[in-house]
Amino acid sequence: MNSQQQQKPSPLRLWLDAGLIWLGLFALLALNVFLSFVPFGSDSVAVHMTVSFAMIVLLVVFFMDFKAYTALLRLTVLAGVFWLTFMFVLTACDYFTRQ
Amino acid sequence: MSETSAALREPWPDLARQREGVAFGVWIFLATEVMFFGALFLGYAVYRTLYAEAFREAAAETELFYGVVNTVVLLTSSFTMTVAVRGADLGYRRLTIACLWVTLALGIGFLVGKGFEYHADLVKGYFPGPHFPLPVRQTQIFWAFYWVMTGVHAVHLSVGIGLVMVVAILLGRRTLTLDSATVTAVGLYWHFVDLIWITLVPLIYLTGHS
Repeated sequence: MNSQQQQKPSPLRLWLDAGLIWLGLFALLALNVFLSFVPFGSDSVAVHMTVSFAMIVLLVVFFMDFKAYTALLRLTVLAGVFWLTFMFVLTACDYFTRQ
Repeated sequence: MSETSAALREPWPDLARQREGVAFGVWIFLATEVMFFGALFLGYAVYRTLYAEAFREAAAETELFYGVVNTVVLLTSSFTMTVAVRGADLGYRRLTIACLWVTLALGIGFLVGKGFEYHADLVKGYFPGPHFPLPVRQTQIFWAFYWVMTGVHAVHLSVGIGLVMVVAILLGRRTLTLDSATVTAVGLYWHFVDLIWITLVPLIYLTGHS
């Protein structure tokens, strides 16, 4: 067995590392479901989407390994987010400013 | 021929560059998917703003139980997919293949749950049309979004299930090597389908029950 094999994480380590993020996602889901019974009125979408956004960040950074990406890959992901934001902002400028 | 050389394809000089190239290609594809689903979310946002009370009333009729259980199933499938991808990176063949099959089973479980939910929705008549049970007409817009968004998501998940099955079989037959970037590519797609569901849950299930 060479030194690289000796240093590689055990299968148990893989389960524990991913399991921690899994628990975090579960906790945020539980929070989101709990909040669905709190009367936020017109703010409810914003509240739930904020919690969901936190779940998405966990998923992308740790499960999709964004933290280990090269600059090229990070730029590609952020370009997708940028154009999505651009589409929402342009549409909002129309619909939400109509008299 | 070693596994490393078997996984390397033209025109890549080494496996690291090949893996980055594959991830780059998958993310370009996922960016187009973001815009596709983004247009649906944007349409939902516009109509929700125009008919807020009708959307709240319609969302109250969704099956919260199925929505939450299916979210748990899909989050767990992302967990097992992550272990599969990392297991492949580290050369754990049996762990990778086992996790891929568990991921596949959870994906099928999600679709079965969705089937039960669709059945419950249809029994109650929540399909837009002349005999829609809710009196406010704009509630049908919410349910139109419900069927389209969850339906398109289910199609994407079905594609993911097919991909995972093919990769698991090829790894089992050793036609595909563990250091191939294919497992990573399928993993990214699977997580993206989960990401879309995480966005859908509050829009469909959570905003009408308070």
